[in-house]
Amino acid sequence: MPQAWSYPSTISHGYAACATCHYNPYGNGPLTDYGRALSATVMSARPPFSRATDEELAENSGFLGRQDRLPDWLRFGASFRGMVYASDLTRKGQSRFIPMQLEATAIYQSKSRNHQVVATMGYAPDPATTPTAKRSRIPNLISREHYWSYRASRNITLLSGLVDTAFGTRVPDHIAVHRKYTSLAQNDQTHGVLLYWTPKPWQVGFHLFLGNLYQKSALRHKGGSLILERLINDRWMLGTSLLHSKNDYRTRQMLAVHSRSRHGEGNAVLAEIGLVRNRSADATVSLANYIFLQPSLELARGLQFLTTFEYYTTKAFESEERFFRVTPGIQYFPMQRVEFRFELQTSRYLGQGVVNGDIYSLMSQVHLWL
Amino acid sequence: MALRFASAVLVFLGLLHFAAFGRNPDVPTKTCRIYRKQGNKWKALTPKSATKVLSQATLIRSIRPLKGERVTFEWKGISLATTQDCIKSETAPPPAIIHSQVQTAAHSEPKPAAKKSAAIALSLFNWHEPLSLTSGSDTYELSSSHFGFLFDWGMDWRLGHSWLWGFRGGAFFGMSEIAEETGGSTAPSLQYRLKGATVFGALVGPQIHYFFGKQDSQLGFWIPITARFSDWPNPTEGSKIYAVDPSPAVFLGLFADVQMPITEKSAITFSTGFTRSFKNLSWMLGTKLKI
Repeated sequence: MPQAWSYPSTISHGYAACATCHYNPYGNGPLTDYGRALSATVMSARPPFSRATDEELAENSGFLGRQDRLPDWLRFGASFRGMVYASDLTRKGQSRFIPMQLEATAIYQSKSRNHQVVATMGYAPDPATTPTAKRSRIPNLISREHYWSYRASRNITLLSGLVDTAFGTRVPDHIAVHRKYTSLAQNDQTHGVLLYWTPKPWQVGFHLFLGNLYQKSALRHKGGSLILERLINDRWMLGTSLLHSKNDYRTRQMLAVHSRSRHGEGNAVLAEIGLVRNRSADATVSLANYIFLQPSLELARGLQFLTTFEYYTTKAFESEERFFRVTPGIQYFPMQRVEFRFELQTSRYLGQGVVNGDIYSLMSQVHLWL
Repeated sequence: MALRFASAVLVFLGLLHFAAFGRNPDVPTKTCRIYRKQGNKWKALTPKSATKVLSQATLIRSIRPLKGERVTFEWKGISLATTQDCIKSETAPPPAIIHSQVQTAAHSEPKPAAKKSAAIALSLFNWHEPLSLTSGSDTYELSSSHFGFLFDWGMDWRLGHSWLWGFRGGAFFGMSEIAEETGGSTAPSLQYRLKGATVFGALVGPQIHYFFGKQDSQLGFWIPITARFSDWPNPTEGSKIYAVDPSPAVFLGLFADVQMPITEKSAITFSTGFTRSFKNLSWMLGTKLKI
């Protein structure tokens, strides 16, 4: 998972803070050595036909094998995620392959590991909505993130560069309601400075950002966000996030409350509820509301039964239009560096005198990483 | 271009920091290696079910990136030690601490769960149900969505070491929303729209669950028979009187049912499945309390 988004359900194994396993204190992006070792010995099943002990699996969890093969100051990673998406199964029934992620990362760290420089380059497919004539102008090779991280003390980390906005929780699914409708999806990284402070039992993140400097100035969202999280006990992390940002076309304000909790060994519930207020240049204001809930049950080591419940409405506190999505599925890590996901997505729309039947879609994902 | 240059400068600055030496790691590398080798030795002496937690503890050789986070190592729901306990100990390596705690815990292991158990649960539900509006030979397809609360009671018996079977039943009350089935983006052909109409009823059926460990994590199936009542009005169009069909209705459901513990006596439950039709997914989400 060096380039993967984070799996917040790792709290089910006793790890509440993303910084335990990721270079980025709010998860996603490359894994630390410890994170790699955990992914091999806790998150993934034992490789078939292997007699290696967990300690040996942990030792061999590095890029191309043993962790000590590379000098301590240098780390690499690479990741590919693709999906076959069969949509609207009961009606039209179309299927297509979607390359979701193709990335490579290099990390340099000082011996004390107090200084880290992380750079990830990725392939970005042409957006389907972009006219063919304009596609040649859009670069396909882009910097997904690049930042310098400085651990000033045991409790304070400063991070500067292009990263994902610190807000709410992060999951790999970029069409999840709390990523899509907050405009915090796979291509929404921003340049800025992030302060990560961990006075126990709190975790505080303060992110000041200038927008993505590779974009045109008018499009860049400038602003700030704040995340406050508190470890209530060993099994429950509760947090809240605030964000204010503005570009030439709209002002965005968001508020979210999120929770990550552990329910027995290997099981977790991830929840986020949020409000998104958008004010456009012509002073039109909209207030949307979303709920994301994802319980995961560990059936065996490396094998999870996931069910995602999602709700979204463009008009919060009104019941005019409502969108529901329930997605039961299986997530399987047969060994470190390999992930399969099979999910049945059922989407439902209610409102304006319409009660539509469910739209069923089948998502089969494969994720390979080094 | 300037940005790319700035990025290159940033990377260069990072490279300069290779020379920067901060604090010593929390655990010296040599000690870490010793822990790793000792992990295997302790594994041979510790029950197989504790292998995972032993491995986790052994891995704290890489404690440096933990940034002070406190992780509790657990075995069968019993807290054995924290990372801090393992780090502070100057005499025993982490695997030895875990091994010792597992031995102690094994002697005070809680008794196996009772053979018979009962529980109550309160759930939020959303069921979809296909309906039709009929008058003589005229039939229009309707789609309904029921949202409400289900209160139920269940009784289970253990079947061997890992299985539970039993019955679960209760009453539900909710609001329904009904409209013509458009099948997508086409405009509805007949105007029959209800919002906030009452639905209520009862359901009961057998269930079977598989147990995961002693933590009360369960995955299984529930097959309820549901009797649903409603007060949907029958519309008229000129001399035609339409009837919403079926109302009331008795139908069968099939749900995949999951439970995950909150405390020893309470659990989160969620179910996804089908009621009456495979065209729509129904779900329930709630909490359960053992009585």
